[in-house]
Amino acid sequence: MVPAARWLLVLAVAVGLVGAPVLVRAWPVEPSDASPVEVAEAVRASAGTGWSGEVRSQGSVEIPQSDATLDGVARLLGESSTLRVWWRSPEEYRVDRVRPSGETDLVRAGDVTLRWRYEGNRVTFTPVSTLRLPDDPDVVPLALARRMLAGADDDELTRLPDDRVAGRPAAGLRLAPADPRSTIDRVDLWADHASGLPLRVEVYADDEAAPALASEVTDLDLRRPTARETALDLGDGLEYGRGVGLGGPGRAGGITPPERLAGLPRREESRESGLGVYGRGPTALAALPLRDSVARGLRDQLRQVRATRDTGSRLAVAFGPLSVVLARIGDRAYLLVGTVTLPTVDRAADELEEAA
Amino acid sequence: MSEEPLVRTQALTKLYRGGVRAVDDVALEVRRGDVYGFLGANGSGKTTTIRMLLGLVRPTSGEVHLLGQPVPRAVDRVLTRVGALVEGPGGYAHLSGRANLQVLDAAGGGSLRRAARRRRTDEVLEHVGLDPGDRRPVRTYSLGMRQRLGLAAALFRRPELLVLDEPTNGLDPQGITEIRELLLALNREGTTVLLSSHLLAEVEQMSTRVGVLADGRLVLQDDLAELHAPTGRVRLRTPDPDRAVALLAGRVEHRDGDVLLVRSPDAAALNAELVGAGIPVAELGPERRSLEQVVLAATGAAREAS
Amino acid sequence: MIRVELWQLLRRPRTWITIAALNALPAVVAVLLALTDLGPRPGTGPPFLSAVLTDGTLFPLAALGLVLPLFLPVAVAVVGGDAVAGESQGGTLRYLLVRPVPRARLLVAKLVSVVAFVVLATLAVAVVGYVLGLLLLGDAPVTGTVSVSGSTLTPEQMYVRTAMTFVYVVLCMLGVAAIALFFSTLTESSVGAALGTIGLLIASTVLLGLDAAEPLEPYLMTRHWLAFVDLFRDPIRWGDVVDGTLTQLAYLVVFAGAAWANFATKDVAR
Repeated sequence: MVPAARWLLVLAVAVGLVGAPVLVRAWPVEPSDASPVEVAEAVRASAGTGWSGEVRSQGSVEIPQSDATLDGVARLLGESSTLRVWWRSPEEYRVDRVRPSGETDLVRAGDVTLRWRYEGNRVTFTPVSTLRLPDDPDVVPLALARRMLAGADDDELTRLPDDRVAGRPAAGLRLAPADPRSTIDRVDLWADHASGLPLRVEVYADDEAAPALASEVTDLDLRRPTARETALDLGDGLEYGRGVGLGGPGRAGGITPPERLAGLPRREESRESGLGVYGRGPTALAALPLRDSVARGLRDQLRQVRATRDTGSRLAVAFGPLSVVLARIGDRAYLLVGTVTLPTVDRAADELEEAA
Repeated sequence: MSEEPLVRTQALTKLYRGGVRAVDDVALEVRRGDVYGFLGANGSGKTTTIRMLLGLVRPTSGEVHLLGQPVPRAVDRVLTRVGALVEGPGGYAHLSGRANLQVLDAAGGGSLRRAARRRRTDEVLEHVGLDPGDRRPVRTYSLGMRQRLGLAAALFRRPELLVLDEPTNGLDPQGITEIRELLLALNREGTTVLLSSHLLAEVEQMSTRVGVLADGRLVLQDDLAELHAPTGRVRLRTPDPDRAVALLAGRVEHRDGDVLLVRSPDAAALNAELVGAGIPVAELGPERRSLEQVVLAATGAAREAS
Repeated sequence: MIRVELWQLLRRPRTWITIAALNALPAVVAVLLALTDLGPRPGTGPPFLSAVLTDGTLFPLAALGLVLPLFLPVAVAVVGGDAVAGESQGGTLRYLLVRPVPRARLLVAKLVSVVAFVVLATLAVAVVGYVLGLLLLGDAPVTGTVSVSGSTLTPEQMYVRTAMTFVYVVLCMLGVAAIALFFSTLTESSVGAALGTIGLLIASTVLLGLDAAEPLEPYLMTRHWLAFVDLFRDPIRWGDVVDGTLTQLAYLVVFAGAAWANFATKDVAR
């Protein structure tokens, strides 16, 4: 064989090895002819699907990190994460955040979540509550898509070209919120043809080319994991702790959450707990009374952000699509946070003050 | 002799990057039984040619046949019957000479069994004048000792053809004589030897056939006997050159003092003629050119032609 | 030829000096941990190091983890870079080739001997680590060892997973070995070949930290090296380990092929 032929052979092998994964990913998908509404229905119907696999999420919302309260949120919305997921149902799952040299495992078993951190060999129990900051399981495409599609109008939905995600053909769907108060421009998602399980979700803020938050299943097994698999099998020598919630029950603080806030209707699922979560789909606003200790930490943290507007009784700042207002209403601190414009959150704080 | 030559090249050419013609259109022919002296100044392309014979360097064009087989295609088959020393010896510096030989033998195909290898190692080391009991690593060897070790490696498998590039490099006069005797003895036993050298005397003393390389071109290739053959002139020294010139009239081609070069096919007849004429003859004999003269003439002609 | 190469590897003082040097860092760390007792407390440092404080049998793992990112690849680059270039430098290459040793066989033998060096060096680090751990840091707790996912691994499970780590570390070095061999056929300087390989390794590591190079990431040689940690999760996370193995095999095929493409008709001018 002449030298040129040998080099060509080696080059061909190299191109083949580099190209094979690219080719598999780019392999065309037989498009589904489902309507946007049908895709959305399939996604909603997939809520009970059991599956396991891996999720990669990438956030690009920068939230300054200086206090433990917002640490998790900042990591979730601002960094890339690799999560191992065993999902039996929305009330029973295990999500491991994998780090190069450790991991944080979060298990939900009914009403209790259990968090285990390798570096500390410490386990924390926290009762499940609607009143909580976003956590690892919330960026799993299944959970994220369900939240985004909740209350979406049919005419806000359009189809996107199908794509291949985790090696499976997936139907594309776009949700563009009609509400002008929303800071979310659109949500693009792709759902598995066969099961309707959302495999990739991309949330775009206004005027942004890159998604503020993108989450994708990179490896999927559609077998429902066993209860053993979603449980944490922890050894001895652990430190135990109780998780600290964000605040006390809403009623005890004095204000009963109003039915509408800044023109946004209260969400059904937040009624039972007596908390105020408003809006529909990606247009969401939450008003939470905070424990004093939590509020103090958060206030110090927000004051360090240059963009924060500080009026003494109220701190307001926007992190990308996320608007945050920390207001002192009566003798209690309230956190109002949402994917709505800052004036909208301000108005909500005004209304809350009037109600008090 | 119709037998295929052991080494035959045709139009062998090597171009190095930058267009340097290291070897240019060389047609080498080494016949069985030859001691072929491959002459050339340093940098004339000898080493490149030898590397091409052994498949170490690819020719740009032209053909090489070694023991009748095409090189480099069949090189791995044919080299088992060839012993070679290429541009200085090389060895694993941390190993002894013995170990070096054994490693080399074990590395190639068709190596000997362990006991036979050990025996052959002792034998061949003794052959080239090294002490088989020497356990010192090669890094402590002198250049001459390394050279001998390289020879030992080349001889190890009793090759049909020995290709030696400057085999006496770094040896003292005593060593050179020893090696010369060794090679001549091997040749008498049937080994064909191709040795390159830039030393005329060395080649002249050993070779039966000579090839001369100058600036990459083979300017001369002939049997040494042919080169040494009488030139058809007779060299005459006489105390009375003037009379001799007068007698021999137009036949004197050259005169240098009392030495005359006379065109004559027969020295004896010339002698009779001179004696008959009463001209004293101090010395008389057929003229034979030295190798040096031949080589200088050939290289000079090649230089002028180019 | 392969036998000869392996024999040569074992006989060369350099092999053993390199292996001794490789073991120096883990040894120093073990002594420091034992003497000062100032190792990282749980939650503050590399978790394996902190676990090692109470369990000496884990030290082979820590030792492998210590040498994997830098020292081991550098050693492999040096040995691999010397494979052909060293013979060329010493003038032995031409004698091997006229012996004759077919060029392809020579390359295979060299590759095998470099891989043998990797196995030998890795094994030495593991064994020395085990002995040091037992001597200096104490026995395994009867309760077993806590996995990265919080479950308890029995000593048997730990042995199996340590063995898997050993295999994986060896696999991770295959790409380095092939690249070093390729460079070794390109140049006549073994130092040059080693430096070229190390340069590629550094480039790979730098690109890994660069967001803009994300599309390249799955193809980078060093991308999956630390995935051996995944073997200590529960259940084992195979994805990156498998990807890492495939990546290394791909590097091995391409660069061993390139070494062959270059060397098969290369002019041996020294």
